[in-house]
Amino acid sequence: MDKMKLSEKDLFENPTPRVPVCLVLDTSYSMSGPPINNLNQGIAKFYEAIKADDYARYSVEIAIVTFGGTAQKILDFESIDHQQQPMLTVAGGTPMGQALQMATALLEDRIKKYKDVGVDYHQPWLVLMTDGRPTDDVESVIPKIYQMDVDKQLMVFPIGIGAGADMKTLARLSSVRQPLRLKGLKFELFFEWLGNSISNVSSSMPGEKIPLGDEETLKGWIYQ
Amino acid sequence: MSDQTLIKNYYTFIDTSSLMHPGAEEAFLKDKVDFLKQNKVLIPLKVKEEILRLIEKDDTKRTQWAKKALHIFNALQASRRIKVGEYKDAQETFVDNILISLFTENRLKYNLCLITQDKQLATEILQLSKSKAVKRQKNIVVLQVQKDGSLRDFATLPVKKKPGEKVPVPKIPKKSAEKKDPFKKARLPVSHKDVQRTTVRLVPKEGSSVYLATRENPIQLTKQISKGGEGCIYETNYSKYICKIFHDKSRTNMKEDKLKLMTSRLNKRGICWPTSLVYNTHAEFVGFAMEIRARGVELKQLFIKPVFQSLFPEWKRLDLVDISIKILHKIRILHEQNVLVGDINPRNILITKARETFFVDTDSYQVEGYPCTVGLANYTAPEIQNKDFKSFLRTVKHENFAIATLLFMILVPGKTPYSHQGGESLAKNIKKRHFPYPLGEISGKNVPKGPWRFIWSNLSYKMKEAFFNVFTKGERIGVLEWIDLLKKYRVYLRHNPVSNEIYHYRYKEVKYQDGQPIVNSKKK
Repeated sequence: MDKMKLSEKDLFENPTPRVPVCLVLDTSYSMSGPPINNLNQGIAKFYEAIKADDYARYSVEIAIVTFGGTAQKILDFESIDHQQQPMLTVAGGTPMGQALQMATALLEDRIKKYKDVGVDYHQPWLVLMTDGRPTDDVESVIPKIYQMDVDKQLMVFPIGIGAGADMKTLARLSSVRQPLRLKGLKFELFFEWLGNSISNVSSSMPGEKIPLGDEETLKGWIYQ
Repeated sequence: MSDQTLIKNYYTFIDTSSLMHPGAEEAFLKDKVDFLKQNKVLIPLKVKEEILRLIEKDDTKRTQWAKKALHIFNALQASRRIKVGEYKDAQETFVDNILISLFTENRLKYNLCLITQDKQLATEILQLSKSKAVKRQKNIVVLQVQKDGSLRDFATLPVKKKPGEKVPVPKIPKKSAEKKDPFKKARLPVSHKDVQRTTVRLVPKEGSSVYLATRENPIQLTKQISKGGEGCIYETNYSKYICKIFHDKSRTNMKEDKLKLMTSRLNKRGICWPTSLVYNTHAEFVGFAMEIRARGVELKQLFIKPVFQSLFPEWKRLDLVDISIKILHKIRILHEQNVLVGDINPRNILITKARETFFVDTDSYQVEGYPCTVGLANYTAPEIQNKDFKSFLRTVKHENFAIATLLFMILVPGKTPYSHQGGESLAKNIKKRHFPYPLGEISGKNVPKGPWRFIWSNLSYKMKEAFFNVFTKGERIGVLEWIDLLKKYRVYLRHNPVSNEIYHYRYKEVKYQDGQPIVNSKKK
């Protein structure tokens, strides 16, 4: 069976309510060296955490958009069992605006797909991670994302990496969640926390209030 | 003994309880009648683990017998007279469960014999041989070790009467609690205004001593089994009791009052009910004890096809119906006591391969004026969506909506009833009350893509009608009526082996021949 059909079969046959998670990741040149390596390890941890939990494994779907030089769709939504984790590399500037546009389009497509098929779903997640400031126009997309967050159509997690991250821009993305700044390069702890939080979502039914991951782990990776 | 000579060429399993019996040495090591030679004798490895656990526990008499049992086990193993098997369920800790699933799986292929002293287990195993669902069975025999080392057939034990002699009625010690009246019916919830967290000087943990309301001497928390949002569950040095100790944030005066009420009655097999409050060494309330230990996996695992198929590969629709009926019987018992589950939740019901069911987290149930303060959106009736569960008492009608949803999700595995094409969030779907599936002449609308329409099609008409009435017309069907419907569905499935499959990829076809409907499936 080809990949397209396999993915479609999964969408039809798995009744578990889905949680689409779009990771929007800064891969501009400033991320070269340890940061990009740690980011890759962090993503591996994320996959690991989700696969370890039966409910999350059949519920979470991941897409990855990177912005380094250009915005790129690295991975489209699919059951994580059919996905292979990409190794991210760095290049160029920080076109965050383009990447966010791309991410919202991917999420909208996916939700439309769920509706067409008749699959239940939870509020989608958008996780944005950057170590710098955008080098393109973000004005057209930020208000849209902010509004989706207000309307509870999207959960936005803005995360800054290092001292150079533009926390002011990140702060404009969500009405509920303050941007958090990653302590050093604690990507693994962040993704572990994210994995636990998403497990809580996937084991709940849509419409429930979700407790986010363990506060203790949270303290381990953010500056307060 | 005639029993011993009769039993040849059986696969024979020995349970822990029989190895620990005073007559065990005589029965298994001195084999007067070559019993062990005439049969293939197997012992699950877990039996040894269970014996070792008992030895470790060091609680007086049983330890001695456990040591003897270990000696017998080792001697048998050394003489190669028995085969020690690991058997599938590496994670299953209970020998009972392993035996029941072994018997369930192999009862069609081999003659099976179990040697045990455990009456409950014996009854369950013997029940398997009576199962009508299975047409051609081999024999199942359960034997009990006697003091003199002989073996007696369990099935004949109580009927040991001579003409004119009275049949001895086995005395089952009745708990006085069960004779009491049911809980009162309350109309208004107790006020949450005065709820206060209670502070204690010491939160017991592994190794701590705690006191039960019903015992003078302390018991010890030996091992933490699980940690949840509200508290931790511990094993104790008395295998009878397990204890839940609350976290600081979840311990309130209201909890204490509610639990006091709850422990005053009701304690049924499979419903893990609080039986005593638990106090720390300062006599402060810290949690509660239960006497029934749940086992199995969360019912919710049935809702994920690949997980379900790896856990219960041999299950058919009849097994799902069986599980459903067992769940309903437990809910019926609760309802008779005026208790509502409230938060019907597939994670709070555990099931085993042997199709046992266990209700856990029962301390959240609605009892008298104490509401169940939690609930999942898709099991919540439309009329109480988004209401604060603390502020009112649920009714049987609300519960019946949850029951219908649960049954739908068991029989159409994992699919929520209101999930449909063009749907929205689940809570919105419930309010909209769009049930997409067809019934007879009434066609469906926006049925989800995938196998769901075929699974629905293969249900019996009566089952479809019941679900249809609940989810489109807002009718509520009570527990007893559901039990009746499911029993009829069971008969239907026995006559329609194709429909007995769990997942379907074809519509059901109904043909008539000589005025009789013949049912089978055809390609779409």
